[in-house]
Amino acid sequence: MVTSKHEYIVCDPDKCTSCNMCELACAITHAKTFDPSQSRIRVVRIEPVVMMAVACRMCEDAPCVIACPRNALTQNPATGVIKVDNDLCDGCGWCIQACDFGAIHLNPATKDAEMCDLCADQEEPQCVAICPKEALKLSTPQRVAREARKEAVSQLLKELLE
Amino acid sequence: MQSFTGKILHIDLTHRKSWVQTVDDAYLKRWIGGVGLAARLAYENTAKGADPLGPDNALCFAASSFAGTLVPVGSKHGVAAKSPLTNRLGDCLASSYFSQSFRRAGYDGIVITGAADKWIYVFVDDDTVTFRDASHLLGKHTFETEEAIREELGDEAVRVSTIGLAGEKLVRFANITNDRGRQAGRTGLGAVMGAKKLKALAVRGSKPIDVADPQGLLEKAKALTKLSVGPKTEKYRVMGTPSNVLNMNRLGVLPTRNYQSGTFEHADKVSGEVMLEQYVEKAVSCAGCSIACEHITRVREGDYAGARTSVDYESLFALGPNCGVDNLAAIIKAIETCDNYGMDTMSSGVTISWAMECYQRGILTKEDFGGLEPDWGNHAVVIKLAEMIAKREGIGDLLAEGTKRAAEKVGQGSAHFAMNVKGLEAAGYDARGFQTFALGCAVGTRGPCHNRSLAYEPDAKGEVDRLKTEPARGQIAKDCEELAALFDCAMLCKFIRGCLKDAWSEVSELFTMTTGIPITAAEMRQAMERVWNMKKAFNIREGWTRAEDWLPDRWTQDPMPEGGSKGAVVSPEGLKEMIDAYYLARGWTPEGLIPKDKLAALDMADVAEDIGV
Amino acid sequence: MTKLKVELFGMARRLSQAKEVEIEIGDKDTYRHVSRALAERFPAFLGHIITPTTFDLLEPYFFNVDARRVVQDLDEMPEPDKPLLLFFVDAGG
Repeated sequence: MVTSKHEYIVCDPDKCTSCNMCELACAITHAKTFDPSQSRIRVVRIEPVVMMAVACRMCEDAPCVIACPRNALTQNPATGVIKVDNDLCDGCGWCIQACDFGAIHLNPATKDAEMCDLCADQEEPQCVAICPKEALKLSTPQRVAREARKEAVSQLLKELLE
Repeated sequence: MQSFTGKILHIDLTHRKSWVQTVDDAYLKRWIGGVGLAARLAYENTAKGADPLGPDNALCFAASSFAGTLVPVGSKHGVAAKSPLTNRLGDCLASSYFSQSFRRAGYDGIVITGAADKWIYVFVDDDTVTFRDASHLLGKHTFETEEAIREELGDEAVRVSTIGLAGEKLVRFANITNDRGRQAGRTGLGAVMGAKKLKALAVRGSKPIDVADPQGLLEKAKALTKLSVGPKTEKYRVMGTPSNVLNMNRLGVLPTRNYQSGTFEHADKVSGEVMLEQYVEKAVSCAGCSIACEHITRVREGDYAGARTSVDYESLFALGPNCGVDNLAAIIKAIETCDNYGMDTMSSGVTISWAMECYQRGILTKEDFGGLEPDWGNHAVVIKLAEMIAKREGIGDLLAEGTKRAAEKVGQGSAHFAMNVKGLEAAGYDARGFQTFALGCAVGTRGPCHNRSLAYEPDAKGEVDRLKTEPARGQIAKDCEELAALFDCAMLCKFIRGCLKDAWSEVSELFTMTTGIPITAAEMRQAMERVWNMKKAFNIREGWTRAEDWLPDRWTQDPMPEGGSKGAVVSPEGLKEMIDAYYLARGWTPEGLIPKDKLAALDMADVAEDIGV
Repeated sequence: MTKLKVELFGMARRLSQAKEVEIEIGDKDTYRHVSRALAERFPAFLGHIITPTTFDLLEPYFFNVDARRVVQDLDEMPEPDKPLLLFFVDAGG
């Protein structure tokens, strides 16, 4: 697994309150129903104050794509988004095992694998749009690091000025 | 119908069987959900005169049509049964993942009757109900039980409502806990579970929730979510409800040393500000909540290092200033102790403070306390007493009965300062300084409850003179109760109420969007009046008389000695006038009974015979 | 000019890092002058507690005179001998 150059849904665990509104927004967008077990983003809370939401990280050379014995998964080279061909997928679950982030699941209704598609049909990912704490954003690890550096230096500056 | 399923799951613990009852749209429109539906189910399934701690008391869980959808702050459920503390209706609500999971199992309500012959827990796995041994869970704390059951069933998606040791020991103010620290907190419903030898109700729901108007709901939910993170809720998000400590203290209504004063000289040491600076780890939310008021605190050093729990104003007042305690770390420890054992922090604090005042006045002695010296502010003793209550050890056995029964037993004038109405301990607002709320406390069907009454609002916001009584408060108290019921039945957290322009029409619209059941704002108002009358009818059936709608003597006889409400007392004549006016506003008889024509107007004539009209 | 003591609570206290402040008021000044002066002293109040354009208090905040009377209209004249509370009240938990 190689961490991605592509944009994916990044969650700031300090801001996440484990409200699960992202799961509900994802389910209603993709499955047209309020069913978090059909959500492509999942909130994990390691009680009581450690929590974050996890979705597909659009890995380069994605292990899930490689693992699929039926070549049902293809990755868009430009965006990194992984597409599941529902005719080919037989729900064997190899891709799920291959994912280190647990970001793939079998849809309980269709029994096919599915993962975050960044809300291809929407203006923006709906989990990002609903997140009341602005914990979710569309970003890359490089950009997250850059913002963290900037934040750290601004903090330093603030302390120096005080 | 959508969202709702029309299915009520009945679980009979005595015979270890379950069945499903169906209800129709008209029924759901009458009772709306949450507390209203739970109260109605309790009425239908509890026999008149049932022992609250016997098998005939029905413990009822009820869903709301919003839980599990994107309606923000809407993932809540109601719980009701006959209260072992008041012998009247005990109605509660709680929130978070349990509320969602229970709906997703496919039920609008779960009614638990009978009693098991040995300790069990019930696992509702969608359509399958199993009765499982709980002997290995006995004595476990609430949070531990929850985790243990999840582990045993091998699925993180299992959600659990459980009791702690206090519920097992039938402490009359034991609560039911779900999702770590969300509680059906008041009126002792945990003891009802304990009496049924039911350690926990575990639920795994895997069904989708479909709503009638997904597009409309989504738009409305998004707009409401945006509003809910604006200035109107900032105080909840930043400091949580403990931001009230200094405000209530300044108004002179912060209960101090068992309501002997409304001003605590050390309020600055136990304020929301200090809590935030020194103890808060993180603010977290219930499932489906955009606000996140729950402030998880942790004590890092000193005698109480390691104590960790979420702190709300009500818990803080009760175990803090109300017991003379000015040590926030100790208050956190005391709250954690109650949460672990599964006891209502408010009744715990107010019962302990009653015992401390008995000690102050020489009514109870050091010997009665088994050698402890419960001087005001002795936090180690407060924590110890909480533990003794949960275990029913020593004087804890007496205090586990609550202030009303304890004062009856101890006598010697201690009822004068037993701060309860109908047996339920008072909330964190001295009613002498909020006199519309005083009326709400007197007439409340479950006792003196800020959440059911809401009548402190016109007092605090200066819409009325908070330090005096007047008959006009009767109508105000009624209106406040029905607004509170709207949030408790349709089920939105009251912390969002400032974000709604017209709560009645907006909530009605949301109800129709989820259920597909058309309802106008006027019909919703009538439904809330019906719910309030339903709760009252439950109490009348159990033998309620007007004498129960009254306040503890301290509030009607002792003028407030100092502070922002100095000199205030609820005059008995004024209180009587307000109660008369309230009954009149409700369309009840001067004795406070519901006349037949009122029942007919509210389409609930079926209860007439039960309540003797 | 007289001085009016204003006590701060909750978010106001947090944003200002002050428990109380003194505001100078003239004979003809109203409570709106007080809220404007507070906003000038603590710009962080704007948008959180005080409306930037009109200096009205945002919900749920209000003025309370010495814990005894809530100010219903910002165009009233203050009582300089009594402390003014920048207040909010909500129960819960």
